Amino acid sequence: MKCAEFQRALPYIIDGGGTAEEQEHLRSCNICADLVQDLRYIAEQAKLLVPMEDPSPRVWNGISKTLEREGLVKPAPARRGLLGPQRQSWGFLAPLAAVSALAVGLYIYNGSNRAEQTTTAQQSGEQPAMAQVADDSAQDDQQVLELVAQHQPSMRQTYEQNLKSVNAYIRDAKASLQQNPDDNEAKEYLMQAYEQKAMLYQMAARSGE
Amino acid sequence: MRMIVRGAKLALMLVVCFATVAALAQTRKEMKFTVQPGASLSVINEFGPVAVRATGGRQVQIVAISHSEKVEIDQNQSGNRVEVRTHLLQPRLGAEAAKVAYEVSVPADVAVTVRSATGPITVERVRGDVTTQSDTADVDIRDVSGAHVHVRSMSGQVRLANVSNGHVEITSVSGPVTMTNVSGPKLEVNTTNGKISYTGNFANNGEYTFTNHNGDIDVFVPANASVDISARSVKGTVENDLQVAAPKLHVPGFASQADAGRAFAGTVNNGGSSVQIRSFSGKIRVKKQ
Repeated sequence: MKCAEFQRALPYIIDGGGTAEEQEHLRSCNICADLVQDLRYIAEQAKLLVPMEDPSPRVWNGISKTLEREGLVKPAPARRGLLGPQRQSWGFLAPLAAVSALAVGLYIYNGSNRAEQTTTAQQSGEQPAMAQVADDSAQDDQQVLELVAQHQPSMRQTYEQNLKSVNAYIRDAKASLQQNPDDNEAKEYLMQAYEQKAMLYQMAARSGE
Repeated sequence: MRMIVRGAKLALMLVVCFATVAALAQTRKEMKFTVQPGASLSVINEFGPVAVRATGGRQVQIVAISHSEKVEIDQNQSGNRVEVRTHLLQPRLGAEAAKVAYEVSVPADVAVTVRSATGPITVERVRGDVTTQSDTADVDIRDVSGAHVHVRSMSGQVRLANVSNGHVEITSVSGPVTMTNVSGPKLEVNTTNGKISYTGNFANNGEYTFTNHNGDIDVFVPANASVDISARSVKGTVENDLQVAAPKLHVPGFASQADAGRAFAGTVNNGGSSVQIRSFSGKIRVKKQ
């Protein structure tokens, strides 16, 4: 199983699901294993932030029927996942879900939108975990570049240059947010920067298809 | 003199021979699919150009020209969904050997998705949604109306011209984005360090957002444009030629930054469209067209 195929099923895998093939890929691929670990952590913390209210099943059924009618998705068995029960397999949402989950984690990290019930002990426990996420990013970048080098060697240098630019964007946006935790534009910059990085990762994963 | 003429004739004969051999090595595949309104077409071709144009009728017609026996063209139609994909028969095939050129004609209402690493990608005159994803491919989209346009690119040049009445979303890391006469209810452009250039009147009472990290953002606006505009560069500079009145809504933090030449906000004419231009450290220039 390739990383692109695995990442399409991320919402289901994060909640402990996944087929035997997906579990085997999780055991053998460090990039995907790190991603799942980070997303599970952020998903757990996000549940503490605000009460989550899903739209009614009627809304989701209407959306999925429209997508099936237009041929954008194939009918799939209903599985419970991060996006709620009875979701279809929307692979194109997996990277967006990853970015959104990361953004939620960042809101927790900058301390600007904590729920009142978050305790000091929880805060001190979260920051080292987010720092670990940042440290692992360089390793993830290297693995992504190796993936590109395997399938499209001529593109490796281009990917490397663009990853450097995006990482610089993320660093500047984080610094700005730390100086101004309540600045909504600073939060927006950080979200945009992570979306750019998620896009590069997705393109690299697809290069192997 | 006679020797020179003979030599030239021999060289010409050799060139014609080589060209004939090269032409014979090409493989041309033609495909036709009949579709109903609301159809979708997906073309996945990592190496080589993909050109899509709208025509009349209800057929999707595709001509694919490859230059190697190590690639094949896979095709699939499931009802109104058509997918065509270049399939490499050998891993790590070089870009030249893997190159396939696609010429695609579609009914105007077909939703088109094109994915190519090197491209270029061209889409013209369609009215269905357009989605492109490219690594270094240049992307050219023109004369599209009433449709959503989504462009994702790493470093290719992105050009949009005469695109109207749809949602447009462009994400590029380092490639420049150039827009001419692009308007609609929503236009969003995000780059890391790709230059953003817009020439047009921000029509349709829409929401226009341009954001980057450190590239330049150049906006050329006619005097009759109706915009509620704000521009800010956190560490760069902002230049403005427009005569603006007070903004419709309070924009926090702008007053203090305006003096430093890093921000401005205001209303032109009736302030019909909302225009937000943000750069972290790039230079923003708003000029009269």
